[in-house]
Amino acid sequence: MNAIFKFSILLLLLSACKREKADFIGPAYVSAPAGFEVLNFSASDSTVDFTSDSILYNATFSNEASWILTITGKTSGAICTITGTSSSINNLVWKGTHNEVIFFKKGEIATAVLTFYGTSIISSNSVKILKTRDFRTYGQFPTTGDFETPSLIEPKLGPPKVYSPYWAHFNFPTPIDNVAQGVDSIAIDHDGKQIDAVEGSKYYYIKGKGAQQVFISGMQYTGGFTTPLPNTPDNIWVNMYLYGTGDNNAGVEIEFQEADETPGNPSGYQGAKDDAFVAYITLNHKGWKLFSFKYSDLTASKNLLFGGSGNKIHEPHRLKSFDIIAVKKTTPESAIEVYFDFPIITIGGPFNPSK
Amino acid sequence: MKKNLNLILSIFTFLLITEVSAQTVYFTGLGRALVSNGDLSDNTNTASKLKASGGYTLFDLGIYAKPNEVLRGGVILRVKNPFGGFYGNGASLAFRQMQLEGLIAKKVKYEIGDVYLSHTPFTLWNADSNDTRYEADIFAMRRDIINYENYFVGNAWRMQGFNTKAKINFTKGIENIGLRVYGGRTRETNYNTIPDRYFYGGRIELNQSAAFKIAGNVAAINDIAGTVKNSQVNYDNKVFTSDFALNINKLEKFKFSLLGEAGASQFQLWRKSDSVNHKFEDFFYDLGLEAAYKPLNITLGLSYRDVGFNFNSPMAQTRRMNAPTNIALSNFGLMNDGITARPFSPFDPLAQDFNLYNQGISTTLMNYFVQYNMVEPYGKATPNRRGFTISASIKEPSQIINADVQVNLLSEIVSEGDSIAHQKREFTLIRGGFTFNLHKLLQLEKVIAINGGIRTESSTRGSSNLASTLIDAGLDVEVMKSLHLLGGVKLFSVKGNETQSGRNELNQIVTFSPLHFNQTQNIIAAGVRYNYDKAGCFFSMHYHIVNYNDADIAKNKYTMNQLFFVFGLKF
Repeated sequence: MNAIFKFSILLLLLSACKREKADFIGPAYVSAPAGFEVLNFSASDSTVDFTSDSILYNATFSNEASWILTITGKTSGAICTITGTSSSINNLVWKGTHNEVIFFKKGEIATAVLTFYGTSIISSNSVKILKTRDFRTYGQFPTTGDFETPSLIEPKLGPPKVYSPYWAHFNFPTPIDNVAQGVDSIAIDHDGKQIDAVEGSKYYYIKGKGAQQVFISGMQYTGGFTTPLPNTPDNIWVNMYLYGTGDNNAGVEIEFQEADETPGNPSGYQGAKDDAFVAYITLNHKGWKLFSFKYSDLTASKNLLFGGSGNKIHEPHRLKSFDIIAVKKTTPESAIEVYFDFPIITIGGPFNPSK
Repeated sequence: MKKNLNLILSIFTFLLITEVSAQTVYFTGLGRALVSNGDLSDNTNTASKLKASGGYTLFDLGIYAKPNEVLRGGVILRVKNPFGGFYGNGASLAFRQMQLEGLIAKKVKYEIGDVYLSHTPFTLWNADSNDTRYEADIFAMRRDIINYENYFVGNAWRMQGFNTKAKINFTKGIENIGLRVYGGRTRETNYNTIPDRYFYGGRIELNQSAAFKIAGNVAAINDIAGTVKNSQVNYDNKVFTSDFALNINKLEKFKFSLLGEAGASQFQLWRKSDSVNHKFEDFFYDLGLEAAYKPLNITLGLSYRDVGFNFNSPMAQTRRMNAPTNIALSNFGLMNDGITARPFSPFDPLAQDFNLYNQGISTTLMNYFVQYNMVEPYGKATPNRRGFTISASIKEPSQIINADVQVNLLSEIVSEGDSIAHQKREFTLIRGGFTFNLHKLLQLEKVIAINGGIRTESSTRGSSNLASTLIDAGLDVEVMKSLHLLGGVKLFSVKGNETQSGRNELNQIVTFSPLHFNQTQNIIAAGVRYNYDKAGCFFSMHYHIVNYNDADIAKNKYTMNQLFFVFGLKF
């Protein structure tokens, strides 16, 4: 009797539990029925220049079904995925965008594969990319920020020594011990893996242990911006691709430097008088990854000599330059490696190359 | 490394000093030397097979101090040297485990440090989703190494925290009340945007008699949002359950039991990205009957389970194996001249590839290899499942044969993705096996044992269906005293279509990816094992042949061979 009483309490408790009512969960899809066929599948051209053109896909199926069009770059491994549910595909536009991290490359073959739910039937065709889409127009892009032209990025050691017109390298003209930095396209990471560029064919690297406990080296973008950013820090994002090897010791600090132009403060950013807002990143991921930060979420620098002496107000319209700095996060005696590519400042949302 | 060495030496010195005053200081040890040499033939020129060898030597020294009857402290130190690391080059020193345990007022047992925790299958449980109970000894030996290296002990998760237990005995009315409380930290703050994340749980168990017990359980994970200034998330999950067992054991030959567990989960996540506190609640129940025939130790069972699609219990639903997207095979990871990622096979979980496994609690449902785990990827706590489980087992007293079979006939509770007909998937999972100790039947001293197992799964919805079968068979013959000849096979096949769901941090399905399989994956292995003693000192040598065939994707076909030596020492 006692047991029945306790069991009843249990059932009472159970009946008090809630479950949401739903007819289905997840995105809707329609499986291909038995006997399903792809009657035709074609692309509008066998080559494409994405700076001025796009590809149109067409297909006809025997029945309505949910489909996935996956376009994969043969060299880059870049992927663009488009989905739908229909009995045909009519002039589906591909503008050279991608969904995952890696960008399509110039000159590569992109193979489009149609797959369906509930059947192993696939259909495919290929196009050659003559020119890739120009993603630099998606925001304020630093001149030479794709790192594709080493002669405009790296200083000339001389004689005579020549500075880059766009980038100030912290190890030039005075070298920093135990630091190597520059443009590369076939670097080998700590795990012995060759690093291919996330965009284009080149990227920038900083490697080594440096000469200090935390700071290793860095570079400053001094090339300016074509038009000033609006003063809407909640609506501006700073974005950059960074390669990681899963090393918790490897860190990057990106400092966005404003010229506060307070009375008595000459025009231009001065570390001891102005603001720098910082994104702190630990490279404990593996491979390339896009990091995006809302400008208003950036942390004000606490270093009084380097950006910690301004008015502490996020004022993106006063942005003059930015630093990319490699730092050791946990182990001062261990070397780290940092690779980065395609910094871009976007308005209205994070950089989204799928659009 | 130098810091570690200094710390280890300090602790070692402290323990040696402690020995002077301690009543007991004792040592345990586990040593292992392991070498493998393999080759792989793919679709390129077979004359240029890929070859690889590797291995290591390690020693785990356990040092325990027991200054009195109610307190014990222990540490396990590990020295490991990779194969080819001459004169200590590449050697590492590490702490494998640190723990204090004791008894307060002769009533409350406690453990602090690295603790192994399991609770119930719906609260805190490290489910072994791949059936391994009836695999051949030649495979089980390798899996034991994997389990040891990944801290998998039974269904417990190894965590950093504390665990306390107490029992209060009564003289009449009820026998006793058991209390248990545990807790710890699952994630460390980054001092900026990610707060500390803690887990805790407890159980109060009322044992009226051998005939009836009932218990209440709680298991929870919480963020401590205030630990960082700019918290991006605030996670809170609580699972409340109750379990009971009612035994009728008054007949001489039969015993009947009514048992089960029921409960609910409450999950909420506040995200800075949308400034919304997302809340999800759901419940589950699992009720069953068992009947046992005592003379032959035969048990029959029938149970019914309903686990809601939003039932969320991270400590019971976290998988042992990492999500496929996070696995990069280190053993012949690439093939076909380095352009094709080698497909995963049933050999890989045995191949000492330690990055395959997960030791942390995941608050989102981890992805999984659909072909191997389509029915219960998260164990009994797999959400969106409803249906019957029928089971039978025999463990006859003379131990000549042990066998069991379990049939799960389940379905989804809510259709995943079918917005038109709302059709639900039907699942079947049949698993079972036997161990036949022939030497006991023939009354021989030397071992002759045969074992076999099967696991067959299917998932069906309309024209989509996927079916897989895994057959295990093994042989162990002791040809001379302590020298065993071992043989084993694993035959796996999978064919059909399925979808794989992708989930967001709210555990809601946001994507479906179609999958197609038409594969056979087999392992054939043979070897010897010599046991130096019964404590666990042995030497073993195996040869494994792995064949992977994909009828739809020819480039995925490969054959892999591996020669494997292992020497084990334990005291």
